[in-house]
Amino acid sequence: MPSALRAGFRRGDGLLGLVVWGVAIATLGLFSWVVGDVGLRGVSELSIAFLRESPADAGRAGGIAPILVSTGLILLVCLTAAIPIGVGAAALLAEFTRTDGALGRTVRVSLDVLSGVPSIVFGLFGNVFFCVTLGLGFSIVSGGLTLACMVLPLVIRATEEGFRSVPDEIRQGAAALGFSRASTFAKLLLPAALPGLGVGLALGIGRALAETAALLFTSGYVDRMPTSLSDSGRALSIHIYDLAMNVTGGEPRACATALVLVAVLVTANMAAASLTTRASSASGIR
Amino acid sequence: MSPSTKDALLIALLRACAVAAAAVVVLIVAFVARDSWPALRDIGIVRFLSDDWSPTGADPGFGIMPMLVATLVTSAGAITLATPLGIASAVFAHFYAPRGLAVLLRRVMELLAGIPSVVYGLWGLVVLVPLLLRFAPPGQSVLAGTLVLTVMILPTVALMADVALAAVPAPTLQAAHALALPRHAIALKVAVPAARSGIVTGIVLAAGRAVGETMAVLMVCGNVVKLPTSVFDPVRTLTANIALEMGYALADHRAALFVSGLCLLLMWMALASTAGLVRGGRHA
Amino acid sequence: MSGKLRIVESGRFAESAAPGLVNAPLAGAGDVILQLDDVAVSYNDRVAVREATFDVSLGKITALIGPSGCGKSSLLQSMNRLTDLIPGAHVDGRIHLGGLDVLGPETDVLLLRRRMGMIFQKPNPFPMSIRSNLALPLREHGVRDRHQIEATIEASLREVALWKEVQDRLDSPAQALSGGQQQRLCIARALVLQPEVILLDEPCSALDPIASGVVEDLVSSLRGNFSVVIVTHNLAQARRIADDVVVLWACGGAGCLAEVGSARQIFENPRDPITQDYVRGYRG
Repeated sequence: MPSALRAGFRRGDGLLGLVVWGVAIATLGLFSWVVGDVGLRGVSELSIAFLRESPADAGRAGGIAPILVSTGLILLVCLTAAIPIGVGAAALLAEFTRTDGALGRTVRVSLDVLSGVPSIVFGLFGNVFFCVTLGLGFSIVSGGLTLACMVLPLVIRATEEGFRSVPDEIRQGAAALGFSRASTFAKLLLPAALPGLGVGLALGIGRALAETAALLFTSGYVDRMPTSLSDSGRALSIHIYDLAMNVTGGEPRACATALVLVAVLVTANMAAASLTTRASSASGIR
Repeated sequence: MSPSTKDALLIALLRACAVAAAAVVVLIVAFVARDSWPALRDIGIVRFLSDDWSPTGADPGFGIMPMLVATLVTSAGAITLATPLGIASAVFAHFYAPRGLAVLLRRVMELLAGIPSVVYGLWGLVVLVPLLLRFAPPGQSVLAGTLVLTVMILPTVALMADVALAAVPAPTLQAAHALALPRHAIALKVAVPAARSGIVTGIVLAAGRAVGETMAVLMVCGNVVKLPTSVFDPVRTLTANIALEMGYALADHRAALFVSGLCLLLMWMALASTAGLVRGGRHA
Repeated sequence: MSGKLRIVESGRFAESAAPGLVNAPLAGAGDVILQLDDVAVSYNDRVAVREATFDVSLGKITALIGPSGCGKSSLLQSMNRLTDLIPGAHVDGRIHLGGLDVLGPETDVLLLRRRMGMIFQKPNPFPMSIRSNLALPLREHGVRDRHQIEATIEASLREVALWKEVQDRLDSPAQALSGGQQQRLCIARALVLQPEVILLDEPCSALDPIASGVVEDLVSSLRGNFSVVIVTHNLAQARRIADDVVVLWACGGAGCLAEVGSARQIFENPRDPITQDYVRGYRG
């Protein structure tokens, strides 16, 4: 059979190589550009005082202390609500239902849809459900509970992974020793799945901190130091938005606040990454 | 308490948690639909598509068409730009990069994915828009929105493509090497097609994120409610509209905003079911 | 660039020298297609195969036999430098394919692999249609003419006795074929590039007995048109199809060469006591 095979078949390699190297460099450059440019504009406003004082002159002066506190409280409410329900649901999905069972499938599909609902729609829902129907008004609680709904899929997915990575030998050993399922769960499985929960926590914190739209109509705009959970409070992301869009000359402070926010997020991200490595190596899977 | 009672209680408790978690999305749909109903009933779908948007005028109009178009155009543009870039980035990490660089790139992508949309919006506002202003006033435009969205969804596409490429079985790649296929052919003609379903899922998820994005587009699109005639026109997306007007909307106006919220919800659910079809039983 | 492409056409080989080659490396340069001199393979610090020296004769079937864990696969993969893909793998010694220095740093690995086809233990067709599996290597190696591609595809499928079974469904997924059919497809895919040497790594061990028999017959039929190196731990199979045999054994945690010779000599008159015990089934 005649052949037309020849050696000139590698022309494309150089072209694709060029393209992908270009994209990689552009990506790294983009990251530096976004964080760097915003950072440079805001770094001059950063100081210890910035973190300790209250905003003055609509935020053009002063600091972000009440905002940090409000953000922390919103986060606290969010996690207090999301973790128990999330761990419980994850435990059920991982340990106590068949993967293809009706309940399992329904919950999974529902969570998959939930994970992509636009944040503004969460804001509408939070406003209608928590603020109005449950009568919580514009408050840290409303904001926190709305965010809890948003991070639930993340927490559940990560915790479920944590449960699934526990080797079956542990369950079999416990059963052979006559442990009840409840004891096996509480004493063996739950502790072993903690790194997975940690990952979910870190990811959830990251998502919650980044949220703006969902908080616009739930926790509100008030930038005073909150005195209780039912007070309205302003989160870091809202503050950035307000300074950038509603306050003339607010850009430098917005950038400084953004630096603080990104710093906290990078920490949460690194925590998630290290917990992920710990989780997978602890269970012997790599 | 006997062990079996403890077990039963535990399972009941866990079931309650799972049901609560599953109920959230149902509640969202229910409440958003409930508060849109008055508008749908009194104003009617036809007017939502054909009116102007002037909800506070003497003769109010509730047409969301310009904003719907703005949402679709910016999202479609972002997907068109982010898909090849994301796939190229993943191909780079798997086939061209030295190991350290691949890990670095992945970490950078994960960080980019975590940056809040309001920070992207801020960057867009203080860096990108002035840049565009110099070439094509007013700067705040469809183009600005598309570019910022592209940067935002690029990590989603890249990370999902990365995972999908990693899942291509080693024997498939071994066969490709044994057949003396050059690197670009192995990457583009064997690995990427094999990773097709994961990559498409990533694209669909990224589209969902683009459509649902509020803050970044709010800050750079200009917020003019008008059908765009060029990429340099300022526009307002559905999401930005809700964010801007919800604070002072009453009665029909408020219900109309809920209708646009419902619209967004339905768009996402349509995308989600496409992703579900592509992905199959991933969790199983 | 060293090494020219030699196109081998079917039926071109004359009957080679005396039947039953004796254990004599370099016994007449024209008869030998592949020479291994003191070839050792190690992974990081662990030696997989100690120095092995033997020749592969043109147009013959050479079997690498020995119990599992003796580095037979490692040795095979060093021949087409698939070991390059394994991080930490290191090949010492000299390998020559015709006049080409296989292990030389200047050698074009892709051209080398063009001349050697490889079949793996577990069939690994690409996740594409049957047609695409065969067309992709052709296209990537420069064949553009559609008719020629189709003709080559048909010819290869006929050579592996698959044509009648799949001619109506060339566009259906290759992975829907049975294990035996997939393995024959993989052989066809290797043949499509007209290699000079075909390397097979236990091609039947993942197949059921009937499919295994079909593939074995196919491998046997390659004799004369191709030079074949087949790794097998199935002594009966080696007895049935091999012309020459290389016996590997485990020596202190690594593989080592026990004996080399013609099939007749190894199975009827082995010299090494280890070989004697192995081929008689007392050991391994």
